[in-house]
Amino acid sequence: MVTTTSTATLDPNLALSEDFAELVRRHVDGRATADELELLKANEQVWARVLYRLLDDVAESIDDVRATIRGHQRAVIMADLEADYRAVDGVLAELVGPPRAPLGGGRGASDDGAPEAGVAELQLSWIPGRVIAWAAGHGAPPEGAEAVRARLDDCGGSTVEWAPYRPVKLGGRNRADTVSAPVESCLGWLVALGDTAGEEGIGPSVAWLGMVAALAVRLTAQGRFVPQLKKLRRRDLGNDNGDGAPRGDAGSFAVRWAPALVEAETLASLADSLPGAAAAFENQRDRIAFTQAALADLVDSIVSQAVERLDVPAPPPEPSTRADAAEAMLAHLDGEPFEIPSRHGSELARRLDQWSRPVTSPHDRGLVVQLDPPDESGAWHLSVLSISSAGELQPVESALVNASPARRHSVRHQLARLERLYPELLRLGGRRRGEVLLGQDEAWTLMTEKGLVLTAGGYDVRVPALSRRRPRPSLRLTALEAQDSKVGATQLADVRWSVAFDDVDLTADEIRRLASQARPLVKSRGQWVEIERADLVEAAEALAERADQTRLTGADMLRHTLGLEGSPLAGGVTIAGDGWAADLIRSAQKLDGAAGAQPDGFCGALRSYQAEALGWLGFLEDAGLGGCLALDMGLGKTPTMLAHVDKAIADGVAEGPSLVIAPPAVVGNWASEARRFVPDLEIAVHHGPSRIDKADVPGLAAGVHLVITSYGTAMRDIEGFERVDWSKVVLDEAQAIKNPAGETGQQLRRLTARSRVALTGTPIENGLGDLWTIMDFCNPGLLGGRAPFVAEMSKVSEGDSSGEGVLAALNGILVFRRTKAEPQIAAELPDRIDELDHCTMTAEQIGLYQAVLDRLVADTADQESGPKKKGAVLAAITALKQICNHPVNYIEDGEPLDGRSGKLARLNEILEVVFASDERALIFTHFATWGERLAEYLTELTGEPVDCYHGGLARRTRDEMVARFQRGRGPGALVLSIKAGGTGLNLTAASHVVLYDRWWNPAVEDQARDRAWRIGQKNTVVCHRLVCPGTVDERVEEIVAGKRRIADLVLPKSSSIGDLDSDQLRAALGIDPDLLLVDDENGAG
Amino acid sequence: MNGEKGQARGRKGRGKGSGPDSARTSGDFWGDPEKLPPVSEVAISPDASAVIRSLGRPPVSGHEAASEYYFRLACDRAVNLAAVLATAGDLLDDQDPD
Repeated sequence: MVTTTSTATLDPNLALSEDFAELVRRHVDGRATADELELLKANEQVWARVLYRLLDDVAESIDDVRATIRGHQRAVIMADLEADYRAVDGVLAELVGPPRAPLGGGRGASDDGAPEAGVAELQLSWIPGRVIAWAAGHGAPPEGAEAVRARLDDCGGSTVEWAPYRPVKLGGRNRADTVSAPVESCLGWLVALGDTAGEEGIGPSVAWLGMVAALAVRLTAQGRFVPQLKKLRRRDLGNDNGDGAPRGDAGSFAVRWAPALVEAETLASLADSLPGAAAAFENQRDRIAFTQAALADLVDSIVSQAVERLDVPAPPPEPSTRADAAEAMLAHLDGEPFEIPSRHGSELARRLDQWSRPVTSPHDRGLVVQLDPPDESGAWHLSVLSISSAGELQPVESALVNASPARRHSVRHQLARLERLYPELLRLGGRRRGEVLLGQDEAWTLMTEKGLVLTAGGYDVRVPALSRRRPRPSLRLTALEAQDSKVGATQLADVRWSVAFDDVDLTADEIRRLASQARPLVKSRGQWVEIERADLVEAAEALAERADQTRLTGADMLRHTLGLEGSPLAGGVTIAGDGWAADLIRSAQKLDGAAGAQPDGFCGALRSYQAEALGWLGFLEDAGLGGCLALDMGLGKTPTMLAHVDKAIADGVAEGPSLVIAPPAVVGNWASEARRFVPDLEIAVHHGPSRIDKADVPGLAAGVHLVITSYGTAMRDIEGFERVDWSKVVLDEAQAIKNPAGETGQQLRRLTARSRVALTGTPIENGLGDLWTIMDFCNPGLLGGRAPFVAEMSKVSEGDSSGEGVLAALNGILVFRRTKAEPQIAAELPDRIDELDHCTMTAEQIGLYQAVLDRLVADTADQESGPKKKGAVLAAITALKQICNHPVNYIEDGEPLDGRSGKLARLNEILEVVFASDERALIFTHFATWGERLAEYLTELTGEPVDCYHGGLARRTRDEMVARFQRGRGPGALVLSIKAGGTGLNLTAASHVVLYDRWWNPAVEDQARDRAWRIGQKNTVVCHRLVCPGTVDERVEEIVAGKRRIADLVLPKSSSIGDLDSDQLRAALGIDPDLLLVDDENGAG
Repeated sequence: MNGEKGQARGRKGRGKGSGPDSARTSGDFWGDPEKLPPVSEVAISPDASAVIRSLGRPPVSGHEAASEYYFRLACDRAVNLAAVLATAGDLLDDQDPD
């Protein structure tokens, strides 16, 4: 780019004048003086422009002479004109360098200059008003017209009507067939071609023309175009013989819409990348001029097309005056030619050209409109700056005096335009021209609306960062005094209330002041934002309501922060300052997602969310708080808690043993998981009839790290348990205490512990009251009363029946919630989780079991070994398994099922969680009759229809049953006989499988489980196997698990089952009292 | 630069050796996709006729007010059409100011 830097300067008016053109002409003719040459050098950019114009004029004259003059006279004139052309061309070469030969060099040429073999690509060329398509490539032969059309179809050009056009000349004798279309017919297609650069089969000329079209669209969309009036020559009118030409002094004119404020840099960049193929039909060798011409044609085409249907005044019938000429022009804004007296038309054309010149020259250094943030008085300072040739900003008034004449001229025009667009700059009282003070309202309007207009107008608008987001107001509670962490929850401290709009903290006075302003603006997170007036009113009211709350306890503050005391503002309540509650919240925020370090003694690997839970449990430990670990079923609450217990011991923060209270079915599971994951911990199971006396519980606890018991046992022996200072008390399946008036919860509150942790996958089963009961057990009194808790949390969970919104609100502080539905959790889970649930036996089951075994022993005592005895033993095994299932499975007595089977109790617990999670379950049993009974029972219990699928049903009935289950949404269950339903079915609607009883062959169980865990299943499948320890049920489990073979069920190994004597039968099938879990629950929950 | 007429003849013009044939066998005739600039996104002006208005009253004798009116209508139409073309070409700048 040529810049104007010289001591010799030129009057800017002269630069645009005919005098300057004459000076350029004189220099071309060799008549310029040294001073005049200096003047030209000082204005090289203008000089080059005039030279280009001269070159075009001469070329046009050559064309005219060719078309109109014949014979000897023509040869003479042509010789003069061609000499003239060469002279102008030569000066231009000196000034801007030689034109890069059409557009030569580069792609496709090998290093040694020899052409490489290439492939033909679609090419586009531009001539005024038309786009021409053809196909050829460097080193590739041109293709025929049909192939070109096929290529056009391939790249979306089929909607354009292409007509045959004259061939394009390539090197040597090569000619390429072409088709062409008017520019206006293919605008949309062209615009979409801009990003095709490098695509196979599409030449760079195609992308280039697409880019010019995209630039034309960008300029038009910004309103960067101006009307101009052009006099048409004969060839523009489509004839060279004078037919239809204007008569007398009339001339043909047409409105053309010229691009405005085209950035010089953009134009240069496009021109620099211009492939010669795009200009294959033009003799124009100047890249800038060709690019400008193509751009102008496209802009004119877009605007003319848009204006076509504009209702304009009818043209005067016989235009003769200047006013008539103007009226005729307004009637032809769509570019249609019209006739007016030449002198009036030319005058109007010249005046329009002068009028629009400030925006039609290449635009390189626009003025800067800079808005500075307000001073102390609240006034915003707006200044207009000019960019010097060295790139420095200077006040525009200074530039008007000190810049070069050409720059002064440009600045003057730009400033005048700016003042028309932004009349505030003309307001009286400004310190100097181009500076003005703005109010809040004006500043915001400039930042949000007017600035965009000025940018479109070619100005570089620099305003402070702003955001249109609506700042979210929240009440901020600041504790003014530090509270001792030990007693902070109950200690009173001075507090101050304010309202935070994002990060901007406002007192009541500041809110009042803002509310009085026309446009309340604040600077938030480095950006200016507008505060809604309604939010200010609400904020003021919220602060007024709390004006007398100047002293609060730590627990009060925590409740406010958790949203338990309500807030009229959308952002709730945040806490700041010092003190127990503020420290607590800050710690929780720091914790966010941080994993706790797995203790060395833990044998296993915690998943990432379990490690996070471990970190959270450590946070609770440090804060002396209790909480609810609410991982979904199957996500591993037990190992997480065991890791925490182990870590607390390893870190020396456990001041005593820990106590786990669990449903009886999972007491054994806790013990086995503890042995597996934390083998170094001393554990004791206090459960069952053979447990020690409750008076000895403190002694038992003193010798171990962890005591595991059931809810019933804990209640029964509560006097023993309450005499121990537990490090922590853990309630597994804590929904067991959800009834606030229930005996279990009341009794367990007697236990003293440094912290209490509740484990549950469904902390909200029946309502928010469940959660309050659990949380109040964990932190007695901290959350206030049940009714206010439910009322406030109901607002949080509005429209969310699952209550997950409430859990989310408490998550990370008093609750740690993760579900299988979370993608990052699901990604970490295996497809299937197998769980073994140890179930209790009721007294009725034990009695029946013992009776069947006694009768077997008695009946077979005198029998010799053989098939008959073997049959009796096998029948007894079946009976014992039925008894483990339920007494009714053995003998139907018509009595209700509840309270008679540990397995059924466990099934109920599982289904309670499954249904609470809106999931579906399959329950497999070997006994079809029991299955039917179970289905009836579950239907009544859950209120959902539960079918039983078994072999006694007709095929159609069974198919309908499966279809119904698969179609169902929400909670549901299906009982299946393992023989009829264990294979072939697709039951992927279920994500839980319960194997209610066991079969000898593990493959049969796997097949049953695979009804749900198969292709089409989108969730992790949790498979529960129910087993009664210490019974034949468990021995079957051992066989299934591969720990022993059926034949090894009894000793000696070589014996057959029919060889067993009485003692061996009792050993093989009898109850092992050390392992048996006895249902001694009374009033749990 | 030297302004002497006689020394300005080195520029390639219509002379020998610079005709279309030789140029059209060169690689640059076909262009280089890597040289092409990126396509800019399109922002729609909220005030279609601002640029024309900034120039002051159009110099249209006796019809200044009418020409302002019709130019504004033309601008509105053209900006709308450009917006449609930009949308179709997936060029719209849909960046949220935030």
